[in-house]
Amino acid sequence: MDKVTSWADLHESPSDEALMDAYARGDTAAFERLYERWNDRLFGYLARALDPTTAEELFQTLWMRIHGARRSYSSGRAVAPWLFAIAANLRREEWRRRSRRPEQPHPDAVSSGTALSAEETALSAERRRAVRQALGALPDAQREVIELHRFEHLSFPEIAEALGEGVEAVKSRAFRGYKALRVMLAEMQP
Amino acid sequence: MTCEEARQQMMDELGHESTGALAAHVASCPACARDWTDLQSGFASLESRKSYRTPSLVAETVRQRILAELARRPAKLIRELPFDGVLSIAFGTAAAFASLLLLHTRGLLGGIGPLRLAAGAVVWAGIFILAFWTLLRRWGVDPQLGHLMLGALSAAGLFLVGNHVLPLPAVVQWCSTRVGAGLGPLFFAVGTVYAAVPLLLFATSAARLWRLRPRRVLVAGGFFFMLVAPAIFLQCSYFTAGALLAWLLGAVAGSIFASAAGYWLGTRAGGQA
Repeated sequence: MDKVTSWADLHESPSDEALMDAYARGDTAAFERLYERWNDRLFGYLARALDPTTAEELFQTLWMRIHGARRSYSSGRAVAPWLFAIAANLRREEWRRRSRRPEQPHPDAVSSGTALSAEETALSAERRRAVRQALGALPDAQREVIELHRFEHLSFPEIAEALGEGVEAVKSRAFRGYKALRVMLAEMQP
Repeated sequence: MTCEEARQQMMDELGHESTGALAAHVASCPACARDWTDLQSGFASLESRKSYRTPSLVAETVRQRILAELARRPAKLIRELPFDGVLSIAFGTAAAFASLLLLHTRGLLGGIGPLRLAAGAVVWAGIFILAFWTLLRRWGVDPQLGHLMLGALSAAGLFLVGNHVLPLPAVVQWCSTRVGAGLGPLFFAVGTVYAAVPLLLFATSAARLWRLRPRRVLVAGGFFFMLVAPAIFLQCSYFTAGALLAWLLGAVAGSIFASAAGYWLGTRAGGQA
């Protein structure tokens, strides 16, 4: 029997939104391409705030939630904030579940599944530790906005959509967070 | 441009050269100039964050799991139920049979033939298990056999033990004659306890193991309650309509309280784990 050509196979570079639409209709090829594009980013979003074992567990939960919620995806809606909304909820749930703030994953202890960028290898370990420590010291509300903005490259309207808040509110949190980072890093310098 | 407008604009232009309006404001406002420098510095300090890659085994496991889900044909509900689901239904049916047999021996189901009794048990258990199964799958939660069996077991067990040690008619009789309690308050209290005890166990388990959110714990708690409700409903039918209503209100109150308390306990236990 001939394999039915999927919608995603027919398009060279479909948008995330088109892939999500097709995935919601049950297209396996669309899922595979979407998964290929997003799995590392979503894993990184979890791994930055959680220990590697928990991040791996939650990564599985996250994708099952995405799969379960795929039919509720509104056609044409931006995929990035939709995915990060689910991921942010999951991360917040995990934070709530812990009575204390999660420890920051130590980069040297992160599993072999991670890779350092060229820029990072050029920086001293001390500098990296200071940045990590300062970021970890931020309130969760500021840190999650900064992570989505700086590392996930979401715009403020997209962050607002993902977190279910107003654009001005998330901008204000990012403003305070970046300033606090600057102050903390200045204090850490010898 | 006001300072507040400048701050909003700074966030939009962070990481880029400032535009004319912002640059002009920053040049004339020392406070905003300091903010702008701090923001750019804070922003640049995060340049060195690592990029992550999902461990290959984890990535492949999730991929295969979702592909398997997508490959399933959703036309018939029974096709959605793997072996675990069938076992759950069988177990739930057995638990319901046990409950109905106990009621039968106490004469509460007098005049009902064995075939009707069996049909009632199957429907009773089937509704509970299927509703629960589809609900959890819809939420993207794996309705594991062990947890479903534990739920059915605890509900049936509580009913069997409770009914043997403290049969509802005897409790009502005792409270009416010794304590002088009216049927309304008494049934409200009994309904609260009957609903709250199993739901507290269930909600704690759901929050800890399935990591359900509070609203979902409450909804799932309502589904769970369906297993014990018919049995108690039958016993209540001996009494007045007012008593039945009081019992139902008590059950609702107990469900809400126990779901909330169970969620709190479950998340607390999960956080300490």
